Amino acid sequence: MAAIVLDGITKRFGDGTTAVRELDLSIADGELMVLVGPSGCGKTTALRMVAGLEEVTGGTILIDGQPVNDTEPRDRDIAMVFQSYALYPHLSVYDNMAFSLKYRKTPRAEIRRRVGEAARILELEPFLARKPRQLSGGQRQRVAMGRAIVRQPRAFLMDEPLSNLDAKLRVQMRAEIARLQRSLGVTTIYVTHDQTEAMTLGNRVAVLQHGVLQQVAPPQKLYKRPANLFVASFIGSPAMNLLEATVERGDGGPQVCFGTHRLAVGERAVREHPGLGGYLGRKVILGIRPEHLEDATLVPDAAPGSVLDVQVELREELGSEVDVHCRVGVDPLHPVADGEPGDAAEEIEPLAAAIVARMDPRTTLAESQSAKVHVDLAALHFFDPETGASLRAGG
Amino acid sequence: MTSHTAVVARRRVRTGTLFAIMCVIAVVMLYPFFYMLDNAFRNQAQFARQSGHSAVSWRLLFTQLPVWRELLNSTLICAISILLILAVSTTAGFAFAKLRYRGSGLVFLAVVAALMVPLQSIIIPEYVNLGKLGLINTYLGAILVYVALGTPFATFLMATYYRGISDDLIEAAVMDGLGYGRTFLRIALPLSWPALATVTVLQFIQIWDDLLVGLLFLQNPQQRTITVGLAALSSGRTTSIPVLMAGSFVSALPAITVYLIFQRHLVKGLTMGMGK
Amino acid sequence: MSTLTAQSQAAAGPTPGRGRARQPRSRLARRRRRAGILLTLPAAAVVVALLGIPVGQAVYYSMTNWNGLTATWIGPGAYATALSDPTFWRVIENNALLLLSIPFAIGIPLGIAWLLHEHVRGWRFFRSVYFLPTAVSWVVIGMVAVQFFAQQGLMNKLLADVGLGSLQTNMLAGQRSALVALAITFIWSMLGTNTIIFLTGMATLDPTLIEAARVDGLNRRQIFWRVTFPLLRRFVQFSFVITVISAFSALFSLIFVMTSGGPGFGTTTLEFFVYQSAFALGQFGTGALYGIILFVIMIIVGLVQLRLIRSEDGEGW
Repeated sequence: MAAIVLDGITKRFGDGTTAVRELDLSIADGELMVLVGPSGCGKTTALRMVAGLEEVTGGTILIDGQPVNDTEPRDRDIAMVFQSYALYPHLSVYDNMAFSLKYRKTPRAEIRRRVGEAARILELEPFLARKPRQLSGGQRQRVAMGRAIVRQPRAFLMDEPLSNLDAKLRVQMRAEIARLQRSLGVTTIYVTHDQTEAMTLGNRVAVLQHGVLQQVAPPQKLYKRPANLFVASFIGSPAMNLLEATVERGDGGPQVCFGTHRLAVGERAVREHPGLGGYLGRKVILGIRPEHLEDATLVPDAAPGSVLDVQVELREELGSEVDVHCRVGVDPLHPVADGEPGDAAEEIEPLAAAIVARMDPRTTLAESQSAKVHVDLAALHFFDPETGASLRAGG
Repeated sequence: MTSHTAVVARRRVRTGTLFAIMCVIAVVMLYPFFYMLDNAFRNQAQFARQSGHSAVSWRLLFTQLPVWRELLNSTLICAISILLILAVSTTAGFAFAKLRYRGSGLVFLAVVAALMVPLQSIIIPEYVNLGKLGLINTYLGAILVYVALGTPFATFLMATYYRGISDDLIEAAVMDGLGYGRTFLRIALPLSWPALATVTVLQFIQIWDDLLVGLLFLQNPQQRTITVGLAALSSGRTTSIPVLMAGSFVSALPAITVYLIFQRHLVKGLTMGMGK
Repeated sequence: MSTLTAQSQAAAGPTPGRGRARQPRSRLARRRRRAGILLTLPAAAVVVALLGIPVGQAVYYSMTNWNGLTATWIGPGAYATALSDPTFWRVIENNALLLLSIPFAIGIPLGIAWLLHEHVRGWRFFRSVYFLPTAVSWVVIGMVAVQFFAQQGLMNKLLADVGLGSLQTNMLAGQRSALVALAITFIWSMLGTNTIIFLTGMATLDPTLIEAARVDGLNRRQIFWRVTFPLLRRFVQFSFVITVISAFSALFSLIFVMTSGGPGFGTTTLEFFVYQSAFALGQFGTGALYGIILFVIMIIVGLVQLRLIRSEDGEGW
């Protein structure tokens, strides 16, 4: 059991690329911290630095308060589960799991006990004599976990352990891993590129992009209060709809305008985004999650200024809901002023943006149809167009 | 209707012709061996007549050449050389593939480039050097030369093979607490049987069938390899052809046996590194 | 003035010290480096001591006229003398003529591999059979070949059987004909190796490409020349290198057993010439010289090959 602290760690490779930039992360003892982000965001590099497989260019890694930058992986007392499982092909399942214990001079009886226990928990008992190639993907994954468990380490490091499994198995194993971690209570750092995994597994989730930490928070907070554009669009599927809009004053409060639309910003949204007032007359990025858009005909008491005119393009039946892809008119791009008089009078093509709405399955909206979509004005998000930072208070 | 049967008939004719051609080629390839065996069982007179058989030439062979002794020499030298080559090339191959250090690329290039050195270019200095060390007419002298000649290609083969082993396996071993030496012995080596077999087959054939090194470094009839013995026999005074044929067969048999057993690996070895 | 600033700017260019391999700092990295060096040491030592240094020595010897007992330094002039020796050029000519057999040594196996690739029943058996000669020593092959080409030999008997008795001859008696006999034997024994190489190459070809060609309407011959052959280019190059290397070094045993270089210098190739000069005639210096020339030729062949491979699709093998 150990708390792990990443104190401003940086990783610069020999060819000049910086994979991780001054990452500060504090993982509590027994916590399951997920590192999530797109490929190349540095999450795997960070994990490998904690493992000791990558040299730390800057900053310190502390396990249980002790700096371990100079400690070899085998002395850090942590176990790693690799994406490819890295099972030794020529050894049986039993030998794979017992392998590291043998080299730490654990007495044979103890080895047998631990391996047996792990096999029981992971339901691998019938397979102990088999070789990896005789196992299915899911079974191999469990052996990889078993190998880590028998070490009884201070922490688990997991590098995308589920990405090689098919979708259904992934969902199943996700729950298993969560349950396992909870019952063992071992500090775990889990890396994945799948935001669903991150949301369902983590006690806290750290979102990374280009080696920089974007936000670290419990899943719900990431979802409801994303700190910037990247987190907002990365977390949640289908992704949040983002539109460029101008803030204007209207009766009853600020309004955001784009295309021919004027949306009144709900009271709660105004409260949550105190900085919005400073953007009067300027552009902001407006964010609306798909589940906050609904077929206007199904919302009988829609408030004024809460409806958008859209053109339905595609309808995806999901069973419990319907994803409706639409196009909504937005502000056209302004031409670059090149000083020639008369240019400003040129006709500019009106632009449309694609948005996705997650609607009640009762909706009758059909493709190639014009429709009206209701917006939940209390659940709007606002971001600065230049920095991408959320205009939310606190954070 | 008729077109279908016509197509089938055409295909059958085609297959038949192909088969016939392949048989002809097989005959071309195999006939020399048949000839060799056929005439090994003749005496001089029968050979001239090209008819009749007897086993006398075999007896003559064993009296004119210390066949058993030479076979033993060949076997021992092959075995020891191959073991040494394997030892040197597996360690280096693993290191070049997985344990890259500064300059290892250059060292690798140098080792592999040595492939281009033909035996004849270095045979004289080798002869002189090993002579100074008193290693002419000893097993060790010949073995050293064979090891030198076999190492570049064997190392290249092993490095290529080890490169195919996932880095994750090595890292898992590191996490499990193994040192790199142990990782090589316990993880990499057991996984490389196919490559080991390939190197063994290729080198066996090279060394067993070699003439020049044996000729120069093992001049003593007591230490000759079977191949050299055979060559000496043929360039000696008038030796009966059937005896030579018998000798050829004895010399060829072990190599052919090894080949038949390890065919698969030979094929893989020749073509490894290509297209990868 | 401006060149100076340009120079200093260029010198300051990419961040100094940011090479590919830096000094390893972590203990693991240091351990890894130590292991790497230790494990590659034996191979490097073998290559340097038993291959590298002898090459240097050979260069040294080549510039002396050492005969095993006495040695006097000649210097690079020795090469000039050797290059003006007509016998040397005769020898090189032999090697060059042998190179003419290479198209056959490659073309025939290509055809055989094409046949085998069709997977007619029993092809695996045929493959084993075709490859058999590769396992057999050149000495053995040479001995049987002698019987084949001899006056009373198999070839003449076959010719008589077919009614071409008038063509009977002792090929090994004439200088040129002996070389041809040598070439034929060489081609015969390279058939197996090259067939395997091409067969493997064809097996790695994407069958969908051939199928696409079939659908597009090409007949078998067109498919071979326009689809299969271009894709096999890398294998053809590999086989070419192997064959050339064999032609320059492996023929020694064949020559030793079949003709001892004769008649005259008819079948003396460079690799045999080295042996002959040094160990038969006792001229170590000259032998070493020819050995070095052989080495240089091999390097040139290798480099030319590399250039050809590189220039074609940018990727090597």
